[in-house]
Amino acid sequence: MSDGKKPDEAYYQLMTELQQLDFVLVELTLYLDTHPYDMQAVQQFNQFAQRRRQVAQAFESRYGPLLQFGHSYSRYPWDWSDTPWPWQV
Amino acid sequence: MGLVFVRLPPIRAAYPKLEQSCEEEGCALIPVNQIRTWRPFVGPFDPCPPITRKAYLVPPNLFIPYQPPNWPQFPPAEALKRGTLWPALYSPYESRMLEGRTQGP
Repeated sequence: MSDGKKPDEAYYQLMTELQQLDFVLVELTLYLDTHPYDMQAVQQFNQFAQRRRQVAQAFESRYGPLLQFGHSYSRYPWDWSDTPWPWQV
Repeated sequence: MGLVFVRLPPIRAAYPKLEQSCEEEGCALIPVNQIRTWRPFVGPFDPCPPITRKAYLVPPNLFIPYQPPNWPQFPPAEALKRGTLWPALYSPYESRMLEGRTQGP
């Protein structure tokens, strides 16, 4: 375990943005479950999914992986165990 | 039991913040009055001073069997804060548990 990057303001900004995008995606998912033919909503969902991916990528390139088991890349050296851990931020 | 009983709030004054924010953002869809009240039975031998009116919350989704498409939406930041993407489904909850108490539970 080595010291990772300390969470700065941008860390929380990106995290908040991720949280917001994730919430919109949850809402749209539930909505689309009952409205599968709503073209506009599907488009919006895909847009948000794309944005989420971009933000997650920006976050991971600065602060390390969000997911494990191949869903995120790791920098060298292996940085999964770096702080801050989720309950430390 | 899914009902949450709260102390009786003054109905119009229950959500002053909500009405304000509605004017600011110009959203016409936010429902204002989601609180209903009822008068519970008061027994003659009740050792405690009776609560003559109790209130419960009626969330808007109860009256929307099928959500129409293309509803106006909150921006993502506000959606996260309010717990819904659509203003028409927004239901505020403010705890009144400790209202009128000066100390302790």
